[in-house]
Amino acid sequence: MDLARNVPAAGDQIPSLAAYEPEHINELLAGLAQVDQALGQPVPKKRMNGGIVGIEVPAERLLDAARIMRDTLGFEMLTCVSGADMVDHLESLYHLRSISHNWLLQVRVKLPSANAEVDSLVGLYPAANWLERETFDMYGIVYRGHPDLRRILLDDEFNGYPLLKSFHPTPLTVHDRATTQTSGERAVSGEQQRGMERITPKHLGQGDEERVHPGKLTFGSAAVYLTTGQGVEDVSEHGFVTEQDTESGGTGKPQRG
Amino acid sequence: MNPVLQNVIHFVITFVFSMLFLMGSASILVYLERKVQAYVQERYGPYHYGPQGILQAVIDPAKLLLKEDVRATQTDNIIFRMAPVIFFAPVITAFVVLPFSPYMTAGALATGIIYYVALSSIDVIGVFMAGWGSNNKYALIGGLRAGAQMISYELPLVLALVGAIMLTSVLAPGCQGANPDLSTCGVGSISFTQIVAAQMRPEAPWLWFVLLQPLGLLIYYICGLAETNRTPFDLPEAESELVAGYLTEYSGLRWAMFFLGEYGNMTIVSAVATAVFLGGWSLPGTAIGFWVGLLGSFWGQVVFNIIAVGAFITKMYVLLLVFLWIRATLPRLRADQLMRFAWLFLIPLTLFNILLTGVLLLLPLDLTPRLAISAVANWLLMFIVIFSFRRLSGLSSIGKIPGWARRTGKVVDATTAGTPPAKGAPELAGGPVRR
Amino acid sequence: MANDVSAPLTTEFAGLRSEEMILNLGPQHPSTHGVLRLVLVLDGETVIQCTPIIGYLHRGMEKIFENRPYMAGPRYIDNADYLSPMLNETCYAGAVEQLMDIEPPRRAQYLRLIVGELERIASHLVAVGTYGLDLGASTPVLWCFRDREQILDMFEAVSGHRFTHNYMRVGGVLYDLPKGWIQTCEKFLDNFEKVSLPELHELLTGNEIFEARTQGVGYIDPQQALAYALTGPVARASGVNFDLRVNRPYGAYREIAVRTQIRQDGDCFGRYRVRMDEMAESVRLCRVALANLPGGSITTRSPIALRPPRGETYYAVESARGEESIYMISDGSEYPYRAKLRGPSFVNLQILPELLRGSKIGDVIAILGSIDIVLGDVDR
Repeated sequence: MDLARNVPAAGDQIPSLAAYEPEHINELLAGLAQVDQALGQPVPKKRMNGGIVGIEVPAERLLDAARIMRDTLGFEMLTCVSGADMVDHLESLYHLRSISHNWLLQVRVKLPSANAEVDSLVGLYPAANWLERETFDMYGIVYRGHPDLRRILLDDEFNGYPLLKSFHPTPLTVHDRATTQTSGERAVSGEQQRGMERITPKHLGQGDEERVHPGKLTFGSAAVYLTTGQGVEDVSEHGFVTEQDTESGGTGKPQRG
Repeated sequence: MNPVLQNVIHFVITFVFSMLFLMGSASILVYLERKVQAYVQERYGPYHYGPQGILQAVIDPAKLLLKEDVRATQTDNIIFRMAPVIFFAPVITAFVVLPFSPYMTAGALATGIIYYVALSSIDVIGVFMAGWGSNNKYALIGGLRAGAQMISYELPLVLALVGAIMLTSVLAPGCQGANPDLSTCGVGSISFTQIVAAQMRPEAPWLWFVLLQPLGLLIYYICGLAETNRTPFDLPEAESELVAGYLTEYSGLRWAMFFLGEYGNMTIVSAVATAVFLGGWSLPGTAIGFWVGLLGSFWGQVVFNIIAVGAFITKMYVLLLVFLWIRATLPRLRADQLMRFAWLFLIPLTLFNILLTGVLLLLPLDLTPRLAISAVANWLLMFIVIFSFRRLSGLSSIGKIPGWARRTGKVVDATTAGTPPAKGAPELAGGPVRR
Repeated sequence: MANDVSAPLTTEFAGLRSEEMILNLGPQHPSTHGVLRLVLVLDGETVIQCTPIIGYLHRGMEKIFENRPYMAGPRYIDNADYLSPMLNETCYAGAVEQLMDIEPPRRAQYLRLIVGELERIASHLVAVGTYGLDLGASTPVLWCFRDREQILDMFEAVSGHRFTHNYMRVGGVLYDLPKGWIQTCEKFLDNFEKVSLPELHELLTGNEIFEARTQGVGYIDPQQALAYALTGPVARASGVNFDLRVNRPYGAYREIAVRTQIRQDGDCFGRYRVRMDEMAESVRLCRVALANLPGGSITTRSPIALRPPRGETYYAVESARGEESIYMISDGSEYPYRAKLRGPSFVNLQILPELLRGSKIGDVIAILGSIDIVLGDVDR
């Protein structure tokens, strides 16, 4: 369809401060009544700083609402898709721009943390492709109908969704190393080290010590050794927390909450 | 002196000179390239070793010779190792026919041009072998591009030289006068010494073929750029697309052979252009008769040859500087544009040039008006080509957006939406407004 | 990042079957402008399919924002689009200001505009220069860097850093202009407009080979530009009249009108020309801002430990590559609860596979260079 159909020709260019005027935003709010009508329920609307209007759409009606916004209200451009982890739920946020009317709209979709799924907007806005992939990558929100929902910025083998508040950046042992030192005197190799993590807080000047006394164990005593069975509570005493990565598997969703 | 000994001395002198000149020229060109580019790009260039960094000419090749020879394990061993040699050998051998001066011509072959053309076409095999033997996709694409390009540009290159060869036949003794003796007229020469001699006639003091056939020189030079893989035809080693093309897997001495071979090739292309179009070792306004006085004594000959070599090398380096200048200025063509340029523009143009020169033979005129007509026609043609290059070359019109694809090209404007357009709005439109 | 490239392995044209080749362009390649990896399926020299693989420069910038106070944000966002850090900083500082509902003093806004427009010139100089390099011309890049160097020197004088300036503060800017800076800047603007820019035009704009390589290559029509949310010079070269400095003016752009540079070519040449025209326009904006530079303080009084009220905001600026925006949630603490950075390069890069289909290898580089991505901005 012709996205540019309503758009007037080039004219004098002055800063269009009208974009921030209340009357201009009222027009948008009036237009959003069509969304209410189509969804059969009033969607919550709010004015935000910077001439933005924020609405909240139920997850199952997102596609309908987006179609009205694009085809009727004239939001030609899907600028940004972001996720947000609000601890009790996830959010998928869409920022839509109308270039012909100079509007900026923020659409919020609330999703349950346990099963965050929402329809993909790729069919309406091709720009959503990578933006949704990124949100999936960072939050694990699944976009139904997305043609190619893979990780985009992170490694394919990456475990977990890093922008979730429950994610903790622990060094992960995905591949076997040659050996893992488990105590000052002992090291294990092969399968034994699977799921075992060794965290050694280094201290200031340690590098010099190692250089002056090669072979001397300078940090063994301070090391914290973790195995998969150990509780997180023990660790937090030392100030470290670990994600129990080996149990959740490579492709599955992480345990949240 | 014993004539055999004389021949031996002659051979040794010219051989040593040729070899030294080839290697020296290559390394000086490396230095010059960096310096000229730096000049164009407002940099200093090599600066630290020697005055104005002149010793860089020695250091660069020395560094290349001393580098580690890295060879990937999966290469096609024999081909990979042979390729630089096959690329480099013709460069050395082609040098023997170059007429630096009457004395400094190692091999005054009667078939000089054929010899040169034949050898210069061997290069492509070396490049292609490098591309294939490297077992690298960039190298393979580079090698394939090089094969297509060097073979395509070989044709207009030779055809451009044919025009000059035809001129020698026009100037042959049988062609003098209004009624040429058709039994000897039309018999030209493809020997470099003969071609140089034809440009130095006593009755026509300055008969460089560039004055008669500027178009020939232009086309030959363009094809020379393509033959030596220089900008704007450096697609085989296009560093922004193919990393280094067929040179990707090479390093150290092998790479140096390609590298110096390229500069050697440039030298040869310029030398041939000098010999064929710029009068070889003759100086402006001098005919061979002027020199005869000097040729009487031994030292006279020595001085004469030194001057001649100097003139030859000067002309050659002027052409080489244009190589470097072009390198610093122009972007690169695309593969399909490159081929189209050769087949649809250069080859028809050279054929037309040959036709024009051939018609010359049939004109029932004296030599001078004949040459004048030819020269005027050729100059005219060249200016037409230069000034309507855009239209004729078919470069700029390639891949233009057809009209049907542009039908949606409408300016999408948002600035006036929701705003009453203020006519003649001042640049400072009131104070700050709250968001 | 994904390695799953499912591509048909043969093509058939009129019974002729030719084998395809998969070429990995990058992540270490001279002209992918960083660590971009393109998996190209080639039929001879023709690209059949292109799969961009990104993420090699992913530094988890959004996570870093969440773990740093608001004041540390501008320093980190410098590294996102590392060719235009001033504009990134404006974006971050502006977002926090909008969240806190404060307004920087007018002088600070003008200073932001001046350094922002200089940064735009500097960034476009890299874009144009490296574009010449992509097409095989080695000189433009050095001429461009010669002028860019002067801008960086001016930035060093004003902020103390050449590259990662850390100049913007929430509520204003860090330093006022040093003595004599305005004269230096005006001298540079004069020289740039009268000498450097015409020189660049002479070198590239009318060149037959440059035109042949760029005209009609990588055509984006305005529909596509809107659908793929392209912004900045890429969209404006396709005839989309969208410039945040005009459409939703912020800071001093509310007072200084910008003449949007639009072309309808939609091809690589159009994008190049839009960048060249925008540089001239930036020079003009700098002059206007310098002439009308107001006095007064350069920053509002604000605490070091900023605690914006609870809430969310979305703030966008016109970066050199398009819309650079931040979606920020504050929970009332010293740290942003969420800061989403929308990099213009990331969104603009999406259209690449669409553009590359059916083009030659040489055009891959020409098109990629004309989109002008910065991998720091793509991967963030």
